[in-house]
Amino acid sequence: MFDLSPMRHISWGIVACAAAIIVVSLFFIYSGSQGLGEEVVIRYVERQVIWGVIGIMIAAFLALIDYRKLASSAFLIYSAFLVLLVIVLVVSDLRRGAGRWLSVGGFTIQPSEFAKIALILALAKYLSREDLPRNSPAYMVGALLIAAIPMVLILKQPDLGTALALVPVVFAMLIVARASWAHLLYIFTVVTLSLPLGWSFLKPYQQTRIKVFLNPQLDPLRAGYNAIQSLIAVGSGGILGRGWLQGTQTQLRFLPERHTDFIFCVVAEETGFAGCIILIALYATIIFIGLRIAEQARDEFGRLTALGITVLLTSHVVINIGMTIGLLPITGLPLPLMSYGGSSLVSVCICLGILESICARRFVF
Amino acid sequence: MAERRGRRSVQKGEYGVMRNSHKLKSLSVYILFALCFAFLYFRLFTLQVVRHKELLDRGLTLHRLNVKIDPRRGNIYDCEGRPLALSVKMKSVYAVPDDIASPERVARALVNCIPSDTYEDLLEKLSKKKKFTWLARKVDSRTADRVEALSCEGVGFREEVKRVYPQGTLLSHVLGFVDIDNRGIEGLELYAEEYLRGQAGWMASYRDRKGREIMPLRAQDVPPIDGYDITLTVDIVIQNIAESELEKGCQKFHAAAGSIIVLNPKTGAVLALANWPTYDPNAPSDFQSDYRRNRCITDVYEPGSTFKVVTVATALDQKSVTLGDVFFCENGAFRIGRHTLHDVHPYGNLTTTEIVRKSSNIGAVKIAMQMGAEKLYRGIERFGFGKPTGITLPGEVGGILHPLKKWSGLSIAAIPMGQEVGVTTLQMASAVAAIANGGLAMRPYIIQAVKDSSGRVIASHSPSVRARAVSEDAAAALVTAMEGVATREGTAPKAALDEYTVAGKTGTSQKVDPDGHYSHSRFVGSFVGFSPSRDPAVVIMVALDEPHPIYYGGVVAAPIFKEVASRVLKYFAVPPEKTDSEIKVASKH
Repeated sequence: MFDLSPMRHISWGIVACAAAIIVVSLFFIYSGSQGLGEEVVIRYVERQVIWGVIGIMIAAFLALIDYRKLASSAFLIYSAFLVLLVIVLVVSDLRRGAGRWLSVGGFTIQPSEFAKIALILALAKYLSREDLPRNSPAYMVGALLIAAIPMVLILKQPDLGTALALVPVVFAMLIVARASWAHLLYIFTVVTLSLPLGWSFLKPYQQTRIKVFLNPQLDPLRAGYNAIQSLIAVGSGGILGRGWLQGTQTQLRFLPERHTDFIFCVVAEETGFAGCIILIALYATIIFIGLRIAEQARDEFGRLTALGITVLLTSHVVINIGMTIGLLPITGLPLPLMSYGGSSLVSVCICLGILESICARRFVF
Repeated sequence: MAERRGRRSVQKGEYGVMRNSHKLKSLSVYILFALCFAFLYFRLFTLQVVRHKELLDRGLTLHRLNVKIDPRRGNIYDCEGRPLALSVKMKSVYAVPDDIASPERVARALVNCIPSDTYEDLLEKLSKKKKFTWLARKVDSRTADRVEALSCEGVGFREEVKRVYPQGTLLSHVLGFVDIDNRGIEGLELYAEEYLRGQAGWMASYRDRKGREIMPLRAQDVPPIDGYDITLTVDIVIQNIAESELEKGCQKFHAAAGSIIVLNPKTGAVLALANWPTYDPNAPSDFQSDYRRNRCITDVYEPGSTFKVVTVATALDQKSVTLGDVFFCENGAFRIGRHTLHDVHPYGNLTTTEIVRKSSNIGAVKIAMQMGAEKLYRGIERFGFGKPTGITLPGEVGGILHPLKKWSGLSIAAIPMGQEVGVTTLQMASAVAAIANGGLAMRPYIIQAVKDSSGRVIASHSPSVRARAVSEDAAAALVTAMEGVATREGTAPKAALDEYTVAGKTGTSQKVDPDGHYSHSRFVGSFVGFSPSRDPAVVIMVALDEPHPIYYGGVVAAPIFKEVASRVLKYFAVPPEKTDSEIKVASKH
């Protein structure tokens, strides 16, 4: 069924680093969910293990199949996820609340996590077309439409973090696809100039988050609370950390969202600067390998897809860690492979599977 | 980075050239990504290495919770081990206002649970810029449960010890009371604070975001040392008798106040000590402050005729008179200088015994004059007047005894009959106890023993002799004279007991008006006596302040003595001295 011969060329570096991060994540999901009740802690870890196994299986499957098969169905996948995103909006509207989730037979999935990949595939597919001149405005408008539709839908959920994480992905793909610099500059200017306008489109809580990011002491008990507590947690870690399960910021539940968005703080508090160096190095390794895969990809679609995936991972890692260490405003963005949550874990595994598929087929046969 | 447009169209040579520029571009991309990570590392280094100490301290101040563990305040028991003051654990509600995001919401929730506070009170407490504030102290379990059910962020509980006095008003003046922090404010609670308080323990532990203490993280516990328990000499049965009879007497004779003391003359132990009006130490603030005063030791009054026992005892001790000596009592009016001394009833010749029995002022003064001022003064001193008895209660005063050199010419005509001297009822009781005890004055005491929580005795009191007031012979002689008081011929027939002999002395003293003259309407009526007279089990001192319209000690105070004495002697199962036939003979007189 599968041609196993390209498998000699997969990147074992990514496999090792990703596996290491997933294993480490289990320890810190365990640590971060302490105090929620014994059975909850166990359930979280168990579920993450299950999702990890499922993710690895999907990744293996994706590595085995030729990524060029994805290219042919890229727009189909893309359209399917647009529909899912619209369903999310409709359902959450019916539930009268913000919602990124869809409940499917007992599971809750987060379509936006997968829509990001669909966007990358569709954009890569579009940008690698050769029937359109690169410097024609139509080419650029088409690319922007492909990128903008899911981003707006995600923004409407509202999930500012995920939408923002896609911005560097789109830009990087446009640059690498050798879109006209004039166009890029034009888009950049328009986006920059419309930022003040965008401010008024933000929900009040999003505005508060950004204000508080600029001055956490504005409201240390409410809006600034998370930012301050995460800084204290990270700083408390010191060089070697306070020890697994010993971090008081984490264990006394001063830290918010310990097992999901703020899991990096748990690592930082309990394993210190040393642990952070290692964890970030693992991510950096995956990302540099990803760049290398993009560089060596055998075709334009592969290169753009690999690059999109790599930049997506990078922006998630940098934004998530950046928000926990006070470099960026707090946005609800998971740390790839670390944060508790099936959708995020599986979607990252899909990314890595596609990356491996591109890697394995980088040589022309 | 990738520079390959349609691999298939790329020529070989061209490929090589593009490869170089591609390498350059890809290098810059790698550097760009590396810079991102370098920036994260740099920031992490700043936070985790450079600012580690500052941030760690900031966290620890949030997490650490030093909890003071109150020791159990020592209990107070009567001589039979019956509890008089106990410590009971109760819950108190506190708030950590710093942790409360919406004081309005919390106040609204709490106001339904804490009935003692209004919404505004609670809101004010919750809005303080503080780490800790009490919301309600020592609440009942129902209130505690309701507040606990709310599980508000920033609202917590602490166990506190509440002082309770299970006997209510009984012995309140001796026991005193404590403030909300269990510090002794009055009475023994104040005097024995060091013994009772114990030592607080400390518990360094951690708290979670909601301010709840996390037990498993507990470190460095310093257990508290419980306070010592105190056993008193007071017997609540006798105290009950004394208090109820005192109250009855005070009300019957419309007294403004009254005091009663029951002593064991052989040891000096206080068996009962009470004042009326009284108060409930469980709720001291509900009572006027003068209800809370221990008048027995804080109030000084002119003893009047009861003081004649001191005069006569000293004269007998100094052998300047004998019981049989006869004094001419001037038919009720005795001129000294420009003053005239009166007796209530005019008398001619009276023996020393009769002077005591009939309470002749002129007789007492003549006895004193025969003895001389100096001997009288020394005698009064030996009986312990002029300085506190040293009982272990706060606020005791020494009374007034002017030094000899300040005595005027008239002092010798005033002091022997209990004027120009100020005494406390405890001093008077103690002086008469010395006569009852064969002239040996015992130091009055009220604390029998101090024990730690395991029952080990820390300190105990054994009876101690304060001084020899008078010789045994003089004391015995005076007892004979005092036995006449509680007879038909004496001033206090109402003090006589059916089954026991009584020795005593009445006193009716004028109070001093604000203008410095003796009042003709305000009196202290008192009686002090002991029974059985030759082998006394109890000395009882009763004083009523401002009884009216009847104010004679023999009428207002003697019946109280009688009731208390007969009930206490029965309680002690003292064998009756008089047989039934003797009682009948006595009652025929």
